Amino acid sequence: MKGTLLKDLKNLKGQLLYYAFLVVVFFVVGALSGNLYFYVGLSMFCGAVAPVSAIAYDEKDNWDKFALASGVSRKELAAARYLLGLLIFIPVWALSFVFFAIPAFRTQENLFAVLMFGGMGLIVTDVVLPLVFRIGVEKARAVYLLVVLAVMLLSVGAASFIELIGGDPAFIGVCLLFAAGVAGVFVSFVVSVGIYKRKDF
Amino acid sequence: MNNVSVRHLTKKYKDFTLEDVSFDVPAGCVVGFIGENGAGKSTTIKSILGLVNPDGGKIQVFGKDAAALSKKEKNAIGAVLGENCLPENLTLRDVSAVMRLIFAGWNEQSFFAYAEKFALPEDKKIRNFSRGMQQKAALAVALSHGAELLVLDEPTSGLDPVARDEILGFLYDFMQEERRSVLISSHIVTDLEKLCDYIVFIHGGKIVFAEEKDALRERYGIFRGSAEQVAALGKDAVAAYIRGDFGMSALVDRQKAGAGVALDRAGLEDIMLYYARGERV
Repeated sequence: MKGTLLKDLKNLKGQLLYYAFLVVVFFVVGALSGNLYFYVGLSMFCGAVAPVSAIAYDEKDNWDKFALASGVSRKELAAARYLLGLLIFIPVWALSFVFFAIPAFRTQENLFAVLMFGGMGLIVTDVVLPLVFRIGVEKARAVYLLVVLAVMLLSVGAASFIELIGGDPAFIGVCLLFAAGVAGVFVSFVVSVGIYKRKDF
Repeated sequence: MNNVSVRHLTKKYKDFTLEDVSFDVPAGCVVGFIGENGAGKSTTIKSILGLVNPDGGKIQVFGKDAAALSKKEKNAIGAVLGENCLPENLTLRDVSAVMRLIFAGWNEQSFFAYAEKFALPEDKKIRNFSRGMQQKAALAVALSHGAELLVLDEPTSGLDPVARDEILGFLYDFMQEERRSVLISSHIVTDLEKLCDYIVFIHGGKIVFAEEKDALRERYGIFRGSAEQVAALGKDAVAAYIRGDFGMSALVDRQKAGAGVALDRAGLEDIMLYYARGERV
């Protein structure tokens, strides 16, 4: 797994630098405009983008065949993709909390938004990765776009919900969403391993 | 002892079936796996390496069920899988850093020594390598982690004769230790003729023969004559025949044809051709 992860990091070096640049730009623009949603909206897709790119490279390079023939297990291959996604998503999402250093951002609504988009980000990864394992990157791209669209609509709805309801019900709602995202990682991983085990390379 | 033992391997696809495939790769031997495109060579090799899930049969590697091999045991297999399997965005230095985490016995010195012998630049991305260079890089990886068994699917395709000969030389060196084995598939039968101890021929998903190379050469000859002359040799003697513009030619079992019959020498390519394209009596 460590070998596959290192390979992914080296393979995606250029892209990761580009993502880092985007993160900085969105963070600065979010901070200057006083709009936290601008940044947390971006963080939501970070967990899926890098593993999907890594899988696309692997499909082209036949990496899975080589790795499996060399003693890397199917479970480890799947785990490496989840780990890569989380290694990128968690720091980018956690950076959202830095906004709270600015007094104007210290509102309950913003805290709920960070939790909500954290949960949404995990759910995007939970849905997209098994799909990509099952049907491949090319076919999954269209579905991925639909997932992105659905999640964005859901986010707008959820943001309005937070604004309208506020207080404890909203807090319980975003906590449940976040918990669903975290629990989904484990469920999604088990599903992905099952897909990988049945797959012929 | 056999380093690989395949028994009654079956794999069904929508438009192709690998059926009852059985053969061995003994320790100390090079086994050539021949057959036309789509005959089932790659599916068999992928089954041995655990890349496809067989529908039936049994595969043992190092005397153990292939599906139950530990990471350490799998590390003792060096694989080159036809198409490039190394990440194209990486340089050989990057590849070495990655392989160190994949193979417990990764030997960086040996890897870069092979890279030098193969004239592969260390800091150039693999995507900028020619196809031949990519094949050599894959072979350098396979030879640099203490493998006891090499499984090579078309390792010399896309290489010029000089490079092919060079690679065969490295495989000879690899075979200097008796416990080691090589299973190699290739379209270039002349390469296998130089290197192999055994030949396994697969056609239409079924094994036609799995025999010692020298025994094959001794057994078969090519008879050229009229249709009546071929028929006169008898059903038992003629393995297959091909009709030509000026008569017939047949792949014939020397012993069964009798001592008085004039036969040309049959190379591996001839044997493969007659079995694949020829008609049976």
